Formats: sequence, C-alpha cells, structure tokens
Amino acid sequence: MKRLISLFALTLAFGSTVFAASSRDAIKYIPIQNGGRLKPFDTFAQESMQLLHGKRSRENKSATDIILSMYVVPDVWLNTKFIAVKNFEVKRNLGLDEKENFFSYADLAKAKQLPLLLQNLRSKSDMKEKLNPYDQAVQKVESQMYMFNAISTGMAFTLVPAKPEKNSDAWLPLAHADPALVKLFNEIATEFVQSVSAEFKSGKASSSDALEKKVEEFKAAARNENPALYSHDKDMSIEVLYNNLHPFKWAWILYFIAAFFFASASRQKAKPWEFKTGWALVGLGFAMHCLGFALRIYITGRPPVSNMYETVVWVAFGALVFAAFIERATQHRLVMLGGCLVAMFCLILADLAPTVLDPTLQPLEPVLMSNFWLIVHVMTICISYAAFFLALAMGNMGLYLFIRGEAANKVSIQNVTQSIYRCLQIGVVLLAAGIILGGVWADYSWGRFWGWDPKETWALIALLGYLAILHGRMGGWIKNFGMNAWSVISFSLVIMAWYGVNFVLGAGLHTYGFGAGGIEYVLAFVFIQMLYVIYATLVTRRKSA
Amino acid sequence: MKNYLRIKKFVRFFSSLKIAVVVIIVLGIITAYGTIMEARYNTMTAQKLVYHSWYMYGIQGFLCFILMMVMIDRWPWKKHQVGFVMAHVGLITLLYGSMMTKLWGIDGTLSFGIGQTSRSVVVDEIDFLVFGSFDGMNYRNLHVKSVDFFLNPPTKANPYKVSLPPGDLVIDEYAPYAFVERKIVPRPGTKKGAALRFQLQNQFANILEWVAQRDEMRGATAQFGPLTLTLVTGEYEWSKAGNEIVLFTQGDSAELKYKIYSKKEGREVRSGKLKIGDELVTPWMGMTFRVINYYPRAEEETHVLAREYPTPLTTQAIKVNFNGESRWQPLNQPLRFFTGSEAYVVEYRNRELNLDFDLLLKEFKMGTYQGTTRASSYASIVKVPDLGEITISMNEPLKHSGFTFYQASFQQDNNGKPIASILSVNRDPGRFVKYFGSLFVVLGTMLMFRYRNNYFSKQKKETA
Repeated sequence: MKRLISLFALTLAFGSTVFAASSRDAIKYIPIQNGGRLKPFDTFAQESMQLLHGKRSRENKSATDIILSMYVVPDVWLNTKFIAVKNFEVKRNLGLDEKENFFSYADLAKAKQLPLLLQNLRSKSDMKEKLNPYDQAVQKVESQMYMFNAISTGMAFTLVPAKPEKNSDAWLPLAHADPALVKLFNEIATEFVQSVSAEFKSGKASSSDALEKKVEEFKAAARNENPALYSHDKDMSIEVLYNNLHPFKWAWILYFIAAFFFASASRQKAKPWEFKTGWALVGLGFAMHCLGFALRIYITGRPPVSNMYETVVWVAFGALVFAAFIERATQHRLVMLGGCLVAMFCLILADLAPTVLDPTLQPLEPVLMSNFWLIVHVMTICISYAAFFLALAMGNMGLYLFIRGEAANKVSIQNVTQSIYRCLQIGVVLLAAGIILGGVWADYSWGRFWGWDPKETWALIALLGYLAILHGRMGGWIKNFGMNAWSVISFSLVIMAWYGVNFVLGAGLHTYGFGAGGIEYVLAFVFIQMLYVIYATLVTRRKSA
Repeated sequence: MKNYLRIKKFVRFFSSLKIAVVVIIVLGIITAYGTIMEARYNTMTAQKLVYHSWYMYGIQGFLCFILMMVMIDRWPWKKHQVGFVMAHVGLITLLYGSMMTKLWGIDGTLSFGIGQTSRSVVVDEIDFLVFGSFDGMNYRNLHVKSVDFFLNPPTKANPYKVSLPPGDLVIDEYAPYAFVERKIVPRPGTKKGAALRFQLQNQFANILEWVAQRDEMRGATAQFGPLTLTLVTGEYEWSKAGNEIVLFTQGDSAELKYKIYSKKEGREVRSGKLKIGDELVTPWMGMTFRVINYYPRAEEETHVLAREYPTPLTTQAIKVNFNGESRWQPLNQPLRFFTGSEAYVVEYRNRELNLDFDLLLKEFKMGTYQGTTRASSYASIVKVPDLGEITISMNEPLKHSGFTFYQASFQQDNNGKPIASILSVNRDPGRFVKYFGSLFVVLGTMLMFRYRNNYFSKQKKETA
C-alpha cells in the first residue's frame, strides 16, 4: 500500500497521462451537500478547483480525481504549486514571487504577513466597510486555504444526511459521520488509488467494477441514514451530464461556423445554399443553446436569469431570436450574421471568464425566490439588451461599409441602418416595459414603485440614451451614418447598466450577484469601439469632403 | 389674431425635438450623477443631493411642460398619432403619479421584537424636540421642529438655537456620517450609577454585555427572552413575571449582593454576594452567570468620529451645547441634561406615525438553504385586530386599512436566531395613476413604432 501511495504521488506530481473516462467516474455521481443545495461530487470538485486553481481541471486530470487525491495524499498537494493567487498587491504583501501565478499551500502558510493581512480584512468587515478588489483577493486566499484544509481533512465532504431524529437538514461531513460510513468511503479511496496507479502503469483507462461497487455501497449506506433527505440518482446524473456536455460551448462553435456561411451569403453573387446552410447550423446551435437552458432550469428549478453568467447566455439567445425575426420581416441577410456574432461573442465570454461570470448554480436570495414579476422583469430588461447588442453589431458592420465607401454600398447601408432602427425600436419598447415591470415587482415586493436603485436607474439612463437617438433620428439630425455610429456609442450605457453597476458601482439592492474583475477588458472593449467610431467618422468625412 | 400667432410660435418653440433631446440627455446625466453619488456615499445622500433636489424636480417639471407643448402643437391629432399621444400622455401621468406618491404617500418601517406589540411607523423625516421637567416626572414639550440638518447643516457661524429658561441650547456642528462609539468609563468619587459587564452562558447562548445605571436612583435592566437581569440601588420588588437575577449595588463597594427569583416557584430561590470574577449557576435554564467587570460609579460616554464616507455603521449626529456641557447626539438617541432644578430631554429622531391599530408579532419564521445559515425565506406571523393571525412573508404583503405591510428584513441575535422583524409600511395614493401611466407609455410606444414601420414599408414600395 505504501509503495502504491508513493507511486500514486509520483503520478500526480509528474505524470501527464491523460486520464480518460474510467470506472472512477462513478465517484462523480455521489451526492454532496454544498453551497445550500445537493450536487454531484463532480460539480463540487469542479467548483472547488475553480476556487483553488482558477480552472476546473489541472493538467488534463479531472477535478474529481484531484480533489479526492487531496483527501488521500494531502502531503503531496501541500507542496504542489497549484493554488492560484493573481493579485499583485497580495503577492507582494505576502512576500511571494510576483511572477508566479500558482503557489503551494505551504508557501501561503509560511507567509509571515498572512495573519496581519487577514486581521486587517477582518477589522474592515467588522466595520462593514466596502471591500475593494484587494480585500477581495485577500479574502479569496483565506477561502482557498480554508477549502484546502477542509478537503484534506474530509470536513468539506458533507456526504451523509443527518439521521431523522436530529431534525436537521444539514448533512454531516465525513469527519463527523458514522465510523462505518467513513470506513466505506475510505474503501472507495483505496480503490481510487489502485485505479489511478493501474492507469499510470498500463497507460490506459482502468475499468474495474470494484470501485463502482464500493461507490454504490457507500451511497446505499448514506441514503439509509435518512432516505427522505437523500437525493435521487437521476438528478445527479443530469447534473453530471450538464457538466460533461458543455451545451453552450457547442452552441457557440456552431454559431461560429454559421457566421461564415452568413458572411459569404451576403456577397452579391452568393448561392442560395450558403444562406440555407447558415440557417441549418444556427438551428443546431440554437437547439444546443436551448438544451443548456433546459438543463439549468431542471437542475435549479428556476428560470436562468439570476446572475451575470445567466444573463449573458440569455442575451445571446435574445440576439439570435431578434435577428431571425428581423431577417424574416425585412430579408436583410446581414442581420443573421450580426445575430450569430453577438450570440457567439456572448457565449465565448461566458465560457472563458468564469471568475467574472460565475457559471456555478447558486441558490437565490429570499427576495428573489418564487416571484413571477421579478423573473418577467429581469428577462424583459436583459432581452432588450440583446436587441441593443444586435444594434451594436449591425452598427459596426455599417461603419465598415461606410469606411469601404458609402456610394458603393448604398443598398447594404440602407438595409443595415433599417435593421438598426428595428433593433432600437424593439429594445426601447422592451426596456421601457422591463423597467416598468421592475417597478411593478418592487411595488409588489416592498411597496416602492421606484426607489432610484442603481441597477434600475442605469437601465433608465440607457433608455433615455436610446430615446434621444430615436428623437434625433425623427428630427432629422441623425442620418444613416449617425444611426450606425450612435448605436455603437450608446451601447456603452447598456454595458454600464448591465455590467458596470454590479462591478464598478457595486452598490444597491441588485448586487446579489456582486463580484469583481474584468473591468480592464470591458474598458478596452468600450475604448476600441469609440476609436473605431472616430476612425469611421474621419474617413467618411474626408471622402465626402 | 396676433396673440394667437404668438402663442403658436411659443408652443412651436417648446415642442421642438431639439429641446426634447436636450432634456432627455440632461435628465440622463443628472441621474447618472445620482448613481455615482449613491455608490460613493449612500442612498440618503444621493436622494437628498440629486434625486430629490430642486433641479431634478425642475427638469421633470420642464419635461412635463414640453410634453404638453408638443401635444398642443400636433393638435388636431390624426388617427396615426394615437401611439404618440398615448405614450406622451402616459409619461405625464406617470410623472404625476410619482408626485402624488411623494406628496401624499407614506413610506416607513415598523420594527418589533417577537412577542411585542407596535403601532408606530418610522418615516424618513427628522424632528428635533426638547422636553423639560421640574419634578423629573412630568415632561412638557418646549420645542418641536422638523429639521433637515443634512441639507442645512448647523455650523459655528450659523448655529441652530433653542431658547430655554437656563439659556440657549445651541447646535453648532453636524456630522452626516458619524461613527458612534460607546464606552463605559469608571467615575470613582462621584454619585453616578453603577455599571456591570457580565456573561450569561449555556449550551444555546453566550451573552456578553454591559448593563449600566443611568444614575444612582434608576434601575437598569437587560432582557433575554424569559430572563431578566436587573441592576438596582436600594429596595426592589420582583414583578413575578419571569425568572430574574437582581443585583444590588453597595455604594462605592466593589461587591454586589444578588437575589435570584424563579417564576416556577414564585419566590426568591437564592441570594448572596458577588465580585469581579465570581460566577454562579442559575437554578433555571442551567445558565452560568459571570461578573466580568464592575464599576460602582461609572458613566456611559459617547464618542463620535466624523467620517468622510458612510458605512452601514455610521449615522447622523449633532453636537449639542447646553448649560456649559457639550455633547454629541447620534440620531434617534435621546440626550438628557440636568440643571440645578430642572431636567431636559433632547430628542433628535425620525418622525413616528401612529397607526390606529396595534400589530403583535407572534412569531418569526426563517427558512435556510440546506446545510447553511443563508436565509431562503422569512415570514412574520402577526396578530391584527379584526383579521386575526396573518402571515406576512417576502412577496406576500398584508393590506389593511389603507396601508400595505411588507416583510422587509429582520434582526438576529449573536447566535443568528431571529429576534425582531422589520416591516415596510406604505400608503401610496399614486399607485394606480402610475400603473395607468406605465401601461399607456408601453402601449403607446408600441403603436407608434408599428405606425412608423408601416410608413417605412409603404415608402419603400413607392420607391421600388
């Protein structure tokens, strides 16, 4: 056994074998109570890795394997540099190497300044002061260390429901569970070690039934403690399926390919099949998109619009729906390209930025629970952002056409501008309706139709911005070029309402999904867009002069 | 005729789209500024300085004005203008509704502990009051005024003065974001009251608190559910209402006498002496009572740190100078002054409105997400006259005699157990006006766009 473990440690430390699907997958399906809900061990492990390592896996090893090995051989992990600390100020204050991004638990525990930093943080939170990004980074180090400790001691593994007579819905961590159950779990751990080592030796996925049998035994014993509280195998399977499937990733890949076909279909001599293929691909992507939504709704039991991540995915959805709608109504093919690009951009963003856009499935604050008006209001406002996002994409295309020459692209420009106008109309109606529905919800929930809450207020500011554009268009000061340029510029108001309020202002009732980060990228995006508009303006001016 | 033309010109001028765009943009900029103020300071600051400022009302009023002008200008309305008229009428209605709410609505909070009755609704307005008494029993109101020190802060150059018999009471400093620190300081050699720091502990609770006499003649009590702790000088008569620990001060001596009463037995069950460090186990509830610190003569001092930015722990405070004393007074905390023969109570507090019925909080229920202390739901079970027991929960308010009661928040003790419920109480005469206006705005905008799109496609067909 000892030799096995040392061999095992070696695998973890130096091995780079790709661990393919194996009998160890059974472990993924064990239910665990964590973060206020029951989830499969797989989800727990991935979320823990996200916290510790900043990624859901490491060196191609699955999160479940890594997290379980932390429990089996904590000493190896103690000295493995895998805990992500990215904030420079924190690294400097802890006396860590600023060039490194990953540190071992031992490195962090050795840092002499750590207790002082935590003390400062505590006194700040005792005084209920707002925490800045640095404080949040310190807080993160604390929770990473706490998490590592909890995993290596088994305290994080809340795998066993309390017996009915305890009258508590809190599950017991392994360390407090019945010794018989601990023994069963340790048998899983032993089988796990053997499976990993066998895999290391043979170089291919092991498939022993022993581990699966042990897992089933453990689950049966845990369920036996309190069958009413134990979760259904089906729910766990669906969540693991959701984790493995990555439906939104498939959706954006399909949208990406579709975008090529739509781009080529908008040439003058395009063949009809190009456009049709684009539609077919979008259809497939959309089906994946909807499947992702359906799975999330099934797992959480609520509509998926409660945090940044979910709204981004929802906006991608809306942009495609509006694009299809406008294309059907006006036959302007470029709209489909715009819709694809927006949907793809949103979904890639959601995929790539898990620290800003938290994809974990979280339970809701009480005020957000089971409220029809709330859901309708958030969905309406977010879907209006989708229309404005589509207008931004069309505006960018329009500006490109202007740069290429207004006279040569007259028809296309006319079509793009008209699509933008449609988008703004849809957006304005939905945003106005959404803001008002928000008032209805607030009135219904706490008797205040309008309380100048920052999130609502910024939605109003965005609405005012677009209203100014529509009035300007009506007055004749905003011509075709102006519509294109302003649809790009005014989207920064939407960015502020959608992202900025939570991440820049960080105040108000709507900050349930509060988080930090990504601000530099968002600012860069806005800045590049502004430069683009200025460049287009200069080029067009010179041409017309 | 000439007048008619002049009016027409006037109307035409103010119904110009250019002015509309400018008003929309200005409104947007002011509002954006408000959100920045809110993020930097707090909601109150943003509301007072921006959202409820004269210029905000001014721009809203002007918006209503140009909305009316543009509708007059387009008269007589044609069929295709239905949407336009609806949207603009709706907007005016919406703004009028908000004005009704602001002027005649009530928006306050009602908080009560479990088992307590309350009828007072605390609103945002702040009053400054002075009461005076010659016998220490009957207080007479000497001064009452609604004040807004945030917008009109009293300063050394421009203080707020109240003339009282012994001289002027002067407020010459105001701190909008004051951090209040309360400290018990020993005052040996004076005739001040006693102060005791104690610990009460059993398997469910661990309480560590001060109880301090305001002056020697007054008893001080601390209440923890069915248990009362009383610190008195001289005689004391037990009310028999509950289990009680009574501590008797012994002048300047560092020792205390105690008596323990049991409700179950209906009598005194134990007595003796205590000093710092001593502990005793109560005959009921299995609690350990420990004397952590004891000053026979002590006083509570209030220190105020004026800060530049608010935190959830800061409050408004004023500096009150009276009868040679100069003291800070945080909002909602009465201040007492004693001169040779009179006693004065100074109050700086949120106005309270009394409902004409009582609410009794029978129970507070909090649900949590499994395995965490995160609240998933909360509800107050309230006894209301005529209605009986009613559950008020998040998103399920109670409507009664013109008011609506919403579950807003709750208070917890140190162990996370809820001890009090906070309801938001509200009367909004503008509610239906606002709803009506909203409906018009949305329907009107939709109709307007439908018309415009038809118009576009017609144009397109003509050119084709």
